[in-house]
Amino acid sequence: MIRLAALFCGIVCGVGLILSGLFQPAFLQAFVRPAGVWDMTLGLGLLSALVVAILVFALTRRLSGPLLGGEAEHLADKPAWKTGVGGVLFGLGWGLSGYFPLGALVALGFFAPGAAIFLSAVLFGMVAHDVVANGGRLTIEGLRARG
Amino acid sequence: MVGTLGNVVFGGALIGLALATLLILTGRIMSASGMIGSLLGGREGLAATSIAFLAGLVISPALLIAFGFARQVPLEPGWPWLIVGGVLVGFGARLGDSSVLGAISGLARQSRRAIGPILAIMAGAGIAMVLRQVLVTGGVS
Repeated sequence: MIRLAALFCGIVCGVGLILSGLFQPAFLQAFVRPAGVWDMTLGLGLLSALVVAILVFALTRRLSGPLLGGEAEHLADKPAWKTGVGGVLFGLGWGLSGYFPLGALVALGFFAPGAAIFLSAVLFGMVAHDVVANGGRLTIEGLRARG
Repeated sequence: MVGTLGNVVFGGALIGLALATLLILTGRIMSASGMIGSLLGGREGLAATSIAFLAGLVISPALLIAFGFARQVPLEPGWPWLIVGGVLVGFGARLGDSSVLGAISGLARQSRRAIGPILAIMAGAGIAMVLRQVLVTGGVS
């Protein structure tokens, strides 16, 4: 049941990314243009997502845990330099390629070849981080370590 | 090529609905670092929901096409951009738990800690666009 719910949410999110066009690499480039006119539609799409999420969370404030059981996922409390540097690196990669991982997965569903290249590189970057964080060793434990 | 204003707002609303529903029903945060990262190892039991969610994303175009929507071919940059960008995104996502939709999910729950990462991501994206402009056209036009 919990997997079915996750699958359904993935489909709804994918449809949202497609209808809004947010998964398109060209979208970001239209938004963050250093010397041109700013196209605010990307911001509008993200704002729309934010407003709806705030509304749903407000309506379900009294829930103590996930409805389908288990416990809510909590992000590890990372030091500010990690979220800062990580965020800038993420933004740099997003800006250079135009893709972010979840959007690229939707593009993969359209058989976009660049999305496959991008996602392979993302996996490589994640494993590279884990190797660096574990003192240069690529071990099963290294892959299992969080952050 | 990109959606009309109405499509953007409606599509954005669906994304917000999906990320809130996912958290309420399953407790999962809709973020690349968490969803893809958990496939690389981590807390037990997360991989199954991650795979289900990621599969939903990948099949959503096929479902739309089945209901008569036109196939959209993304306009992609050349492979060097995709490779360099992808490695940076993957490394950054794992280092700082950074992601676009994850940050929105945090903001929506009024977590003040989400503001810093959003600003960092936007700063990085801004720098990247200047870099692209310089590298592609040889100067900021």
